[in-house]
Amino acid sequence: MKIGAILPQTEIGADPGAVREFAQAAEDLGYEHLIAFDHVLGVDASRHPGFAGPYNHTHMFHEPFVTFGYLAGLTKSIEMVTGILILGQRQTALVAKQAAEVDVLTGGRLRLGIGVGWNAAECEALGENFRTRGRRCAEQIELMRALWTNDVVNFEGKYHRVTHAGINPLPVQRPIPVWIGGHAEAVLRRIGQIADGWFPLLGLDAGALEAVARVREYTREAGRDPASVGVEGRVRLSESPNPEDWQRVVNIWAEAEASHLSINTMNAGLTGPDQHIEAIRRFKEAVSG
Amino acid sequence: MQLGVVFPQTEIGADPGAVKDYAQAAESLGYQHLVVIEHVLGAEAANHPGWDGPYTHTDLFHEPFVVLGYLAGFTEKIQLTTGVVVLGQRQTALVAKQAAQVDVMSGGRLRLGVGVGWNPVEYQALGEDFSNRGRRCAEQIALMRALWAQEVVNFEGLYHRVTHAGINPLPVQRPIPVWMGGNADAVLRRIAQTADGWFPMFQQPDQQARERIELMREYAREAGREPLSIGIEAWISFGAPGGPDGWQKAANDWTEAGATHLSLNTMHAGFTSPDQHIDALRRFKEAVSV
Repeated sequence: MKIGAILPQTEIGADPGAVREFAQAAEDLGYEHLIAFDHVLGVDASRHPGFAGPYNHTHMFHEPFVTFGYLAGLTKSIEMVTGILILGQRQTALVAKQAAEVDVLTGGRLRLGIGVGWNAAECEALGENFRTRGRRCAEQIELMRALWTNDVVNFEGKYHRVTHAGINPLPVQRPIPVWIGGHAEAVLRRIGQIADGWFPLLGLDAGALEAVARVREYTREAGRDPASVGVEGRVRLSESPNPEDWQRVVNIWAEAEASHLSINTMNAGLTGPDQHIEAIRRFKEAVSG
Repeated sequence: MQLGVVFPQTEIGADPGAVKDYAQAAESLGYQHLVVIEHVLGAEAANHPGWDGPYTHTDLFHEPFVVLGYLAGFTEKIQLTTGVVVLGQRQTALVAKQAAQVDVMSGGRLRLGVGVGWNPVEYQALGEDFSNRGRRCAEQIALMRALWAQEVVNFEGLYHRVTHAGINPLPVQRPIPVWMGGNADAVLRRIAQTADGWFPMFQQPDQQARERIELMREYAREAGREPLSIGIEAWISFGAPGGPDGWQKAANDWTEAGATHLSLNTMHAGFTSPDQHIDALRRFKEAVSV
């Protein structure tokens, strides 16, 4: 099982030096991947009656493609992972282009995790249709994969039209692996059909293992080998400061044959980049994958 | 006069090491800005009858926001500039977000040049409307500036709607300077009304260029702005006839015509390696004083 670290986006602050130090520390500690979350905008909750989303405008999110561009040259081997990028609110061809650029600058170290998102106001600010985001998702992935593997693409779908055009440079990985996040039934089915891997984004006590079984069933139904679809488990420092608890969660994911696992140090009362770095050092020492 | 370089997008190749070496050479030679031109996609000319665009799918373009993020970590003071990003084919709020991120990673070194582009194939592939790209431009800039300056924006325009939402982090520069490219009358008027500077894209500092500059300044006066507060960036081609004497003459003429920024363009000079582009930066810097 590959162990990764989650960039503590909402707590690391705006200093680029801190972002760099966290990424370099993760690499030096032997973490195999670095995950960045994504929100383009946050809403002012006081002006959105009934707002129940997990993040608002006070939460900082470094833009993942620019941040990975920045980190590309400051790291050597750690895989860069979006976990997840809200694909349905972005332009498909631009995501393909920017993902390819990150892949080129990192020498083939990008894994693109995508999802459909939950924030209608964010989708509105970006001029995209929130209602159709699920239906558009499979076509978006199909077009990106075409753009990553062909110099020229001619594509006519329900939501996209590309007339004999292409991106240049192509990525190093052709295609870049696409992982999907989420746990709605339609999402689980889509993962079984087309994804290279899955971010359950679901705690163990919320039915994550049952969802793993369903994804594998959908994968078999689609005529694919369930072992070929990655699964990324997660340990949350906020749930326990105790290394024995971390190891227990790691063991459960290992038994479930998760291919990847990552540590989230946010919402655990840490203040400052140094404490996050210290936390991933302690986690790495305490657990074995 | 601020002297910079045009990053040789279509000739430097895909090797990230070459991109880094080029930018660091430009900075250490004392160039003050690095300009990146861009296209998201290129069209295959053979399948577009009558094609006469300057670029096709065979031309390589590093994506500007990602590559400027990359360079932010390797450079210390050179200004990172887009010249230009085709704004009309991108989502306004995402451009604001990614520009802010480059500005944060570079400690406030971004200058954002924008334009409306010329390639309907590229617009179609990105799902944006080519026919109203000019009309949308001023509103796009107004929304970006609002997003860069305020934690929460409530905006309802003809083409955009943002409901009490904002980007975070805000950029270091609030707002980031916005320069515009282009030369049509409507563009000159827009620059005079809203831009911090202008990429005129003239070939020569000739009589026609001077007349266009004067026209833009007249529009600026009409708009109640100080004409000399609007920057003007001219480019000099390394491969233009005349060699070092020609470069110096062009620099002098542009200075006299009112340019505030000059950039050396080493593309289309017959170079076949990154080292040749870097060597050209050195030779130009030695030969020309501004």
